[in-house]
Parts: sequence; structure tokens; C-alpha cells
Amino acid sequence: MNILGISAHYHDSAAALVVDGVPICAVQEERLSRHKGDAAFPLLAIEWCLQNARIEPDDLDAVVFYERPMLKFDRVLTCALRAFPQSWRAFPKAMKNLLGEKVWMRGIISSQLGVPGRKVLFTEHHQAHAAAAFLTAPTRRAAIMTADAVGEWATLSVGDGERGSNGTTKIRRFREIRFPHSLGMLYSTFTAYLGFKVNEDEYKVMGLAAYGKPTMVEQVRKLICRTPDGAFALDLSYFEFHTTAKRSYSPRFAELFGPPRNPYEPIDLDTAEGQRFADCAASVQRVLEDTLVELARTLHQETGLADLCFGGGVALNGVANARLLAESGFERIFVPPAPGDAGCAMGAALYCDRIHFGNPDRDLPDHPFWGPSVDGSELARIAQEDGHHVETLRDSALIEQTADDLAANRIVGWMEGALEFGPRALGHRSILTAPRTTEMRDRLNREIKYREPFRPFAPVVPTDVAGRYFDIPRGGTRLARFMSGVFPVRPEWKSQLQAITHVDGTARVQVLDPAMAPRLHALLEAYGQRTGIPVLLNTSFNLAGEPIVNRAVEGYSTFLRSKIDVLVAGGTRVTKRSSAVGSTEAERIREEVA
Amino acid sequence: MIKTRGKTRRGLIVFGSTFGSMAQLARGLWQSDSDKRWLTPLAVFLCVTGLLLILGTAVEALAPFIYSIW
Amino acid sequence: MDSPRPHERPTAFDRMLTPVHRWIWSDTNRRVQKLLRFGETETDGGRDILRAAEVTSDPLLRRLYLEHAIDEFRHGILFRHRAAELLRVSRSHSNIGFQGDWLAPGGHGLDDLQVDGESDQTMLAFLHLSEKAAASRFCIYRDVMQHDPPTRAIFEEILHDETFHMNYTLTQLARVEPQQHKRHLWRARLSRLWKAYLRLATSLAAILGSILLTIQYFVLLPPFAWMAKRAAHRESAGWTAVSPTSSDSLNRQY
Repeated sequence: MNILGISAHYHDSAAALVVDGVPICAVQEERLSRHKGDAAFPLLAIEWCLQNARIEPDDLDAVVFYERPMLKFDRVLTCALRAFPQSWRAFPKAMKNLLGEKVWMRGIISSQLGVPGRKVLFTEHHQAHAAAAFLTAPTRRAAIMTADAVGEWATLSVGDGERGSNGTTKIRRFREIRFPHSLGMLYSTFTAYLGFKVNEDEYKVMGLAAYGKPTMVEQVRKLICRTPDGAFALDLSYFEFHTTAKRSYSPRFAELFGPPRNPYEPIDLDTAEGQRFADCAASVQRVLEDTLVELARTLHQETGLADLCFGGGVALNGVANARLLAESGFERIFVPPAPGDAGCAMGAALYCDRIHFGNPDRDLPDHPFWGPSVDGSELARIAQEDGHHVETLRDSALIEQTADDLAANRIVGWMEGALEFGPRALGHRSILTAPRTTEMRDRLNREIKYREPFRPFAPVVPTDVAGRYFDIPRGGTRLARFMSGVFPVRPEWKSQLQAITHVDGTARVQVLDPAMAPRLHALLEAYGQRTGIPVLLNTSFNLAGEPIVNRAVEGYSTFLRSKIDVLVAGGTRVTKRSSAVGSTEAERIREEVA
Repeated sequence: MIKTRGKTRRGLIVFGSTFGSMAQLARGLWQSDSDKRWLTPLAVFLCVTGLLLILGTAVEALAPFIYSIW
Repeated sequence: MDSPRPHERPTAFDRMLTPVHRWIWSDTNRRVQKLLRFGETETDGGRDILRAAEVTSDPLLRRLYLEHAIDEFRHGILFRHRAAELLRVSRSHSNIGFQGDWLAPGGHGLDDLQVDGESDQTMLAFLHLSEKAAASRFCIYRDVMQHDPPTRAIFEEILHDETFHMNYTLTQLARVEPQQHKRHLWRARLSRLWKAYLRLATSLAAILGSILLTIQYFVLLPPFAWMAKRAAHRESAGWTAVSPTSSDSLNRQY
């Protein structure tokens, strides 16, 4: 049975294909279209999935969209009515947006793929999140919590899931919190207030929080209060996201927290103003964590289960995840590699397979590598054409050579195998370098990633030695598998892991099981043999504002535009002809043709 | 391989599917747990307006003239 | 008409609009908005040209496109930094007023193209025309910016790059299509004209659509809004139980 899952039209569109109950491939549209956070109908992603599985649209048994468009329309219309007459500007925009395209998903999918309308199905948004979190996790029974900005009406839901021994699967949602009361919207409102991009830069707020003190927790608690039944409600007088598309916070919010940050001004943490923004971030982070911990603790008491599957965009908050593990009572927390909307494509397809069609439960591969594979020969060809130094090496030689490069403080662009599904680079499209000095962190920020200096870098470490360098609690290894938890760096190693140790002494560590990425694991060991510490800095292979690279040629163009020293794709290793495509090369080309 | 269809053809397929979707919306509102029957006429009326928007999107070149139908 | 080495020269149309441009750029707030928008356009154009570098099979074009893309990214940064400086000095809060966007439609024209599916010839022809159009406008902007030397200097610097971009795209078009490069230019011109009409038509339709929906908002919605508010008062905050039947069928869109 072939089932295609689709998420689209909000942010980060994606497609995933499930064949006979097992995911075959999944990819975000942005990785193929090269537009970051591409929200368009994911035609490229669908086309790639079908080609990869060698099936035609006619062979699909179902195409599942990750939300119910008419229920979403109901929410948008109801909110516009409730906000009448303040919503008069937002109303035409919202209606054009929805009625011009997005509510007619059955027709759109039919027209794009040529499948009959009866084959087009719909899950609820949080159903898809729950399925993505539970059905991909190696657990038989678990509590499920999903939290994001908003789906149709739900913004947070709790329930449980069970994969029975007779092959049946159950996913139950007990209850939900509805829009406009949303933890995701609360965090996004602060994201906007702090001058970052909503739905994209929430992780910057988390990074900034480490520099501040939660001195404004009381103010944040004015915005979100607990309801008698244990849920929460936002005080809507502080927000405008539910009435207008222009701004998410109200003047009252700005009165409470002070003037918002100008997005075009860098944050200077040495000034009182910069510190105020960091304190704001720390305060909302604290309140988010406290709220999640309380909700999860209640769910744990209610279900008595040891495992929690956590999905939705809020599950990308690694600091909150670590606190959930420490304080909620759950022994293990499973966050999928793509907990956000992209992952809903996979969740919707799996939900349809297990619940709608009632197909028997299957154990699924426990890795994030569902995208297109990299072709080292493509890199060799283009780099040779451009006169760069190209070597094609056997695996062992390549690992030894790359370990030498890393030990010599070179920055390596590392591409191997299938692309990761989800926002994290987990070792197949990564920039790797030595984690030892702050100079390296600053060099990466300044010369390659071109990003704010306050943002931390993540380490990758083999599972068996992770505990030596990081204080990972029981159950934390699972959370760290897909870089979903933030844990303390052990004090004795901080001075040797400066580039990946955040200002608060933590790191968003990835612990690597050799079966998941054997070559990277071998590289870590080879690097460890040279330096005594098998830990590497692992950051996503992209430049600021661009999606993570997919094909070798994209890695190559990123390599040429930045100060990455070495590029590895498959068995091909490339170093630049000169130190970089700097002014000399530019001038030469200009003189050649101008 | 996905067959590429022209924008107008796609628009017509979408247009054809709208009536079923509208019926589902109306039924959903009518049977809603939160008693939203009162919203049904407005929602359906707006969806009919949406047909105009679909036509406008499908035939970009004639979009301004399509609106003048209203 | 298409000399092998064209230099930046404002078109008659752009020259005619000089007073309008002078008025637009005279106000700091508008200037900030325009610069920010240019910053975005240049960066977006840079990404498209970078994509062209990644998909072309011609090694020389790959290097040139890459250089071009790097220039565009740099322009984006120049524009953004200047806008930030002006914002800092004026302490203005970017309220979007009249921007005269229609005066500079399409940015670098690449929104008219699906870069992945285009041939090198089409890409070069489009790039040449859009760089030429941009150079013409930037020439005017530079000339009306006497009162703001730092912004003027940015346009001056960018104009220098645009000249290089115009030149290489034309010479490379002549290289890859020696016989028919003029035909490609004409086809690109017609295509740009058609796309400009489509932009105008959809903008006009968008305005008409907004008017229609706004009328509906004020005429139809008030009684429903009253009922929605009344229903909202009856709703209690907190948890809502999920009925097991609410999600029983995946055929439902509601």
C-alpha cells in the first residue's frame, strides 16, 4: 500500500512516502526549491519521493494532507468575527489567502497529482503531530503531548498511544487547548518582540535566554495564567495575533516589557538594553518550561506510563525538553527528528496507514535520513572543471585524512548518504570542526555562518563516551539522539570544549550511535585518537538565510562562498585552489570578461 | 512522473472540487459540537466568493475582468 | 540597439519619472523602506543566480554566476546596513507608506523565471535585461540622492557592479548562442512585458478582491460578529475534551 503524506501552506512544506507501512523517503520542499522555509505546495518533494520509490501517482492508494482545511477556515472566520471591527484589515487578506487556494486542498492535490478526489484524505494537524512523534518512536506504549503555535483549533493536546502485540495501533487524544491560547504563539510573540522572524527564529530566543536572568517572570505570568482545570489561558489584551496579521503583541505588551528591539540593530549584551532583551528571553523561556513541565507531570500521573512522545514545533526547544525529562516523571522522552510541521507529512501518512486502513504495526528504522543521497562524483566533476584540488579516496583513507584536517583546525563541509528530514543536521549535511576554542566558534560565526555571536554550536559525540564529557541524565541519550536536548558540559571538559559550550555551561549535544551514521562515527573515533577527545562541533551545512544543502553542487557553492577549508561528499575530497574565492579570483574573472 | 497541467486546467479541477468541500463545511458546521449552525450561511457565502478568487487565480490575465462580474 | 558593451544609462521612461523618484527618496522613512526592500530583492536575486550557478553545466557560466550572486548578496548587505544606519539616526519606526513599488517592478526580474528549468540562453537574456533595467533605475536614484552622500555612494558602487553584470551576460549570451542571441533577447523582452501585464492584472484583481471582501466585511459580518462574540463569552478557557468521533474519518475536511 502506497501512501503519500503532505504538509504545506503554513511553513516548511514537505512530502513523505510510506510503502507497506514503512517510510521510504521524506524531504522538505525547501531542500529542493532552495527557498528557506518554503511553504508552497511541495511538488518538487512529491515528485522526488515518487521517483525515488519508482511509483506513479496512479499507484498511490491515498494522499493524506496534514490538516483539515475547512476546520481551519472555521477558526480563521470565527476569530475574525470575534475581533470585529478590529479585524477589518486582516479579513480580506485572510480570506483571499484561504479561499483563493488553501481551503480547496482536495482539488489542489487532485489537480497537481492527477489522483481522484476520493483518494485525498485529511488528518487533524495535532493528530499528524502525535502520529509523527509516537509511530516513529521505538516504544510500544507512551503518553503523547503535542504543542505548537496553532493547527486548526488545537494548539496543544495530550493523549496516549499503543502499539498492540496483535499489530493494532491506537492513538487517543484526551483533550486539547484551543486557539488563541497557545504556548507556541506566546513564544512567537516574544520572538517578534525581540526582533527575530516568527516561525523561523524561535531557537534564537532560546539561545539568547542563556545570557539573561529570568527577572521578568512575573510580567510574563501576567500574559499566561493557569486555569482551574490545569490548562492555561493567555490574557489577550497583551496580544494582537488573533486580531491582525500586522503585529503579534499589543501596545499593552510593549508597556509591560519596554520598547521592542529594532530587528536591524545587533543585540549588544554589554548594554542595559541588550541585557533587557536577554532577560525577556530568559523569562519567557522559564515560563514555557514551567508550563510544559506541569502539563507533562499531570499527564504522567494520569497515564502512569514511562515514555512520553512529544511533537509539534515547541518540541524543538531542547532546554525545555531536558527539563521535561528531569522533572515531569517520564523516564524517556521521544522527540522525532522533524517535530515541526514538516514532520506532519510523515505523521499523516503513518496515521493513515495504521489507523485509517488498519494496517498492522511495523517497527520503523530509527534514523532521520530520508532524503536524497549525495553524489560524490558530481562534486569531483565540477570541482575539477573549476581547477580545485580533488581527490577520490577509499573510506578508510578519507576518514583518516578528514580527521587530520579536523585535528589541524580546518573546517570541513561533510556530506554523506541521504539528507536529514527535519531542521537539524545530524551528520549527513554538516559543517564539522574542532570544538576546542572560542576562536573557532567566533571564526565560524564570523566567516561561515554569518550569524549572531550569542548563538551556540552543537557537539556530536559517540554514545559510549558521551557521559564522560556531558552530564546526560538517565533517558537523556534518547533525547540527544536527534539533538533534542540541552545538557551540561562536565566542568572538567569545559576548557577543552569551549566552542560548543554555551554561556550557561550547556550544549545541545548529539550522541551518535554507530549504526545511525557509521562513517561519522568512524571519523569521531579517528579524531579522538589524534586529539584525545572524540567530540566534534557539528553545525548545519548552510549559510545564513539558506536551507541546508542537499546536492553536492549546493555544498560546493556554499564551500566556495565561505571559508570552509575542505569539502567532502561521498568519497570525494576537495580543497580550494587558493585559500578562498576571494578578491583575486573575483578580479581575474572580472578582467576576463568585463 | 507527475503530468504537468496548465494553470487554467488545474484551476478548473479545483473549481469542480469546491462543491463537495463546501458541502462538507456546511455539514460540519451544522453538526458541530460547539453549536455553530448560525455560521453556516456566512461560511457558505464566503466560499462562493472564493470561487471567484479561484477563477481569478486560474486565469491571471483576465483576473480584473472576472472580478467585475461581481 | 544591443551594443556589445552597454553602459548604464537611464531610459527615457525612468528619466521622465525623475521628479517622482526625487520625491520618494526625499523622505527618510520612505528611503529606509525602499532600502530595506532593495536589500531583500538583491538577496533574493542573489539566491536565484546562485541557483543558476548550481544548475548550469557550463563551467565558465558557473563561475560568473557565482561571482554575480556574491555581488548581489553584498548589495543586499549594503542596503540593509544603510537602512539600519538611517533608522538609527532618524529613530523612525518603519511605517510603510507610499512606496511607489510599481515604479520598479520585478526587482531583478528573476521572479519571472523558474531558474531550475531554464536554459542558459534564457537565463542570460533575462539577466541582461533585468540588470540593464536595474542599472537604469539605480542611475536615477544616484542622481536624485545628492542630499544623502552615503546612500549615493552605495548606488554608485552597485552601479559599477551592474555594469559588469550587464556586460558579462551579453557577452556570454553571444558566446553560448552566437547566431540567435538577439532573438533570445527579444523573446525575453516580450516575456518580461507579458509578465509585467500579469503582475498588473493580478495586482488590480487583488485590489478589487480586497474591496469586495471589505464591503462584505462591513455589510454582512456585523450580525454574525455579534453572535460569535456572544458564543465566545459562553466558552470557558482551559481544556476541551476531544470527542473520539471527531477524528474517526479521514475523508472529512471539517
